[in-house]
Amino acid sequence: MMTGQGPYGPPPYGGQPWHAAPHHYAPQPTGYEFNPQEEVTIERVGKNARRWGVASMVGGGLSLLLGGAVVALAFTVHEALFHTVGILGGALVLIGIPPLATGWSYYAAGRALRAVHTSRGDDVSHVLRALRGLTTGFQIEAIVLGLTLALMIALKVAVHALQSGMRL
Amino acid sequence: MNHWSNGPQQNPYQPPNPHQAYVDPRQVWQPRGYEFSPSEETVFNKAGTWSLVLGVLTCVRALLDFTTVPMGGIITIVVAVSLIMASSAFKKITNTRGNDIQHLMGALVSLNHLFIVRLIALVLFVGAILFVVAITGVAMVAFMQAAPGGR
Repeated sequence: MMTGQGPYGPPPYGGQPWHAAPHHYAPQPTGYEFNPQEEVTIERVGKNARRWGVASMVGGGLSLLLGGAVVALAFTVHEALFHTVGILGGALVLIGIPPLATGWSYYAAGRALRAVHTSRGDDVSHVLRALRGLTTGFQIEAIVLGLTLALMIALKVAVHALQSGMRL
Repeated sequence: MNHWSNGPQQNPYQPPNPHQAYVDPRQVWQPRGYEFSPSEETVFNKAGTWSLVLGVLTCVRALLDFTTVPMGGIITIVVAVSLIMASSAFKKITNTRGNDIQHLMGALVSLNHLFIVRLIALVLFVGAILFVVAITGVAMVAFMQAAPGGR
């Protein structure tokens, strides 16, 4: 023994500090590995995010295709109906774009979460990549929903104002 | 008051209890209490902010849905609550210390609920559309067969 105080004595002066654990035992600031239970939760979220992403992309894609078809139809109908059918087709195309974008974001997030389960050594960066994807999806959804709500409220106010004016 | 007046102090260098089984601390070390770095916390903060914004807007939409489709309103409320709970857990990652992984798991569970509810709602919606189309088709066929001159 260096200090002559037995194995339970205070740490010796100098040398390696007592709290410096061997490298492979020390918690690392990066390279955190989730335990199997946590990985199951993450994998489940990833699977459902991918499912929802695919569903959104299919919905958006169908709306986009239908809108394109209606716009094409607008050129074949009578001139009086051209604007009505064209606007309907354009609206369907516009409605289809946000679900495509959010669907892709959620799908990418789901893939990143699956990578946590399937790979080792970079779990935190995969989770952060997934969260960036989810955030992008939330941003697009929030902006579209905000605009939709503003439009709905404006329409309700306009209808209410018209009804009040008619009563007068 | 000095530190001697706090009652008997335990000698930190005393030998362990011989009756107590020795446990190697290296074997019980758990990576609990992992703290994300400030740059990583920025990502969680942003996710929390946007999920809160989306949750609040979804709440407003749920109130509007209740007046027209009560069932849709209930589903929208569940989605909004999941988003707000996820946001709360994300914010806890940045605002508290010592339980980041636990809060992250809480946020992910809330997001899982969000996706499950949305998928169930989608299945119900598609099912309802298919049901209406099938009923309409059956009714049209029955009407055409019942009409005079029908095959």
